[in-house]
Amino acid sequence: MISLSVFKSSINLLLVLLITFSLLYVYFTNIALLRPCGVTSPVDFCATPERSFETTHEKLKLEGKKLHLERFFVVLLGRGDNVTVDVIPPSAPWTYSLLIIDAITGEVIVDYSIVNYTVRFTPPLFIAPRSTIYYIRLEARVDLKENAEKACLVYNLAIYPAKREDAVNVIYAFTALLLGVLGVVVILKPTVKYSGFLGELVINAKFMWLWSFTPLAFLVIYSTLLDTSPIVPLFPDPRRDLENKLIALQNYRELVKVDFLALYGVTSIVLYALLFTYRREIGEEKLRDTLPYSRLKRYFSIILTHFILLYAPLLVVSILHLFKQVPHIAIHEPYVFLKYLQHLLVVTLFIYSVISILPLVVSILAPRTSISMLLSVVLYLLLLYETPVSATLFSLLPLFRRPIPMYRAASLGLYVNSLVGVYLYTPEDIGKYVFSWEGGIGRYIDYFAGTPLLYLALILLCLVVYVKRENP
Amino acid sequence: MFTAISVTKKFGPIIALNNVTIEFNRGLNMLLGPNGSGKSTLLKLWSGLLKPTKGRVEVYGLDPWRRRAEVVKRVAVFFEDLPAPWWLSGEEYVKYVAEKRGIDWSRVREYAERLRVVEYWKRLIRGYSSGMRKKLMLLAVLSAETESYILDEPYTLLDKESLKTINEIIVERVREDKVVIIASHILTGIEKLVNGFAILHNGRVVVKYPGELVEIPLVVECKTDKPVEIAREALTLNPLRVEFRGNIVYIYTAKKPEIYKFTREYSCVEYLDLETLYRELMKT
Repeated sequence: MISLSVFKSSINLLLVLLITFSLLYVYFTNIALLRPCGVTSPVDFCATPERSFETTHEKLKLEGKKLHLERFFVVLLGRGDNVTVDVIPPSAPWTYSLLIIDAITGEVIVDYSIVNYTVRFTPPLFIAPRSTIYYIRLEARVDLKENAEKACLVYNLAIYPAKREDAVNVIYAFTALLLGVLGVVVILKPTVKYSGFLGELVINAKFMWLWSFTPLAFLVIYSTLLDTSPIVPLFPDPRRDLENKLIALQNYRELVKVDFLALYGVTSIVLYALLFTYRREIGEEKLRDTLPYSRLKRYFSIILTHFILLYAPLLVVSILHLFKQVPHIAIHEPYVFLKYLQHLLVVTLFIYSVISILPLVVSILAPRTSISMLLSVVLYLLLLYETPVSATLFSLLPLFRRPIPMYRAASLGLYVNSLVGVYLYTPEDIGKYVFSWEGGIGRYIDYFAGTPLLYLALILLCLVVYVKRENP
Repeated sequence: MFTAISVTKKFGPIIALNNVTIEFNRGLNMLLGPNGSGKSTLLKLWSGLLKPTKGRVEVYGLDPWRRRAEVVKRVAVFFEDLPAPWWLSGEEYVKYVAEKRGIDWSRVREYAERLRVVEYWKRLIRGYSSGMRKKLMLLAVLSAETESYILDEPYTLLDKESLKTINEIIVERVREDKVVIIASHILTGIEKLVNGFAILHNGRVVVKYPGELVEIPLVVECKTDKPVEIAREALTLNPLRVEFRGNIVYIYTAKKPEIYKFTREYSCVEYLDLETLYRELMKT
């Protein structure tokens, strides 16, 4: 039997969902501005006969009267995104070549070449036919009029995300959430059992879900829609090995952009602290103490429920969104895709469990809603700078078991940068943060022995305090 | 079964219990005392919610603080200040407790019907009145099939009918040879079944039974068609007072050997006069 109250709250919820959906749909189809993004050549991008500019992804060479540019981009584009790659050479005539390949299947989408007799020209417009990772190779050959001591060039990759994709995202996210809520309310609620550990999770969830799950689910959807920045200016060639593909995907940061993460983190942590202390303040903890169930198990059940309810929306929408955005990858490279999902899950689980610990400590040691709310925000902001390092190290753990060849080290460096960048820096800063491999093992050991152990100690401290606490 | 040996409990500078020694066994046991006398603190010590500052507390030979889950498995506990989880419906909450305690649902339903909780338990608890909440919480405790029951102030906020039903259920538990401990400052008549009691004041035991050499007055209750005759006869015992309520005569008296003879002769029942004792003690 479903009680009337269930219908009432479900109807309210559906109403709120519908209104939100409509507002977002209107926003993304009519009001939202395009958010172009791109990559431009470095400042003073020049070559001399003695000194070429050469990296794994970028080459500018001057040989006599010939200036040669080769540039590789790896971008993750949504269907319908517009891309232009512009070049401004020092003189004309010059040859412009553009090769765009679907990095997952190897299919050549664009193979375009043109000789220009003027310096400026209108670059071709590429409209992405599907959502996938694209490998873009830009080549420019300039015939200079005379031998030069120095030749400079400018290029610019610009991407204009399609608004249509954003609007479609609304439908996907809304449908997923609606089905989730209906599934819980209509199917699970009447058949629910309260015995054992599962019963504890259910009763905790009943206490928390409306406060935590619903607003955060909306937050996730909103953030999903707000940031569909498609660019992944990465190197080297993602076709080279599995790991590089993962790196490319790792930068797929629709759901992990730093400002969003900070917002989500602060919101969830305030809720976490608030709900934890509120339970104690209203005496719900005492009520549960009068039932024959160990506090140890209850502690873990509460942590797990908080975790599931606060972060499940993030994870579920992220994965759903990923499937929607890159089914092409999932079909053609299922192993890569699954490996990425596993990675996403592990990193997310680790990071958010770590993030949850500090408010827990505050809530348990100072079980007053007002105090813990304030403190948890402060602690979270401090934690924001600490977590990526631990997460990165955690994800690198298996690699420490074997020697890392040089090329792997380079790609791992990228991996680290992308992770740290995702969690700590704005996209523009990615690459600036140099993870010092030269620093040697000592630095890693510092973190291994430091941060994770600190968290472990905090979990145990919470456990001890929680289990030993009086309940007057 | 429930023992407190030289127990002291402090909350910062406040001494809630001061060197208290009490033992309660099967049957009905009552903890009496004014507000702040330490009744609830003692019950919380027995329930494992608090840890004694000094002394030893045992329930069925177990330390409730260390083995709370085991103790509350055998003891159903009700505290006046326990909140009802307002985000659940009454039925959901009772179902949760029933499954945690392994109580048969038909039994819960039976008690819910007696207490008339079924009439409203499908609604969310936040819409209940204080009395409705209290009945729900008492239902969750009294329907449990445990060896003992601890009830802290179970009578406040209840209407007369509910109070009567609660007392009927308590009497059933007492007749099933269970341990029932009630802390209250309201006497509802159930005290006639009392097997042990303690009166606390400012954290100290003022009187306790059994185990205290204090003169405890008795009430002799006689149900009769000739109340006047019995009352006249009772006057020869030099009682403290005699009262009539319909065809029942209540003889309030000190403990004397001739009382027992009188009780047998007129088929009366006798029980400890906690009301008088409590009133007198509070005066002093």
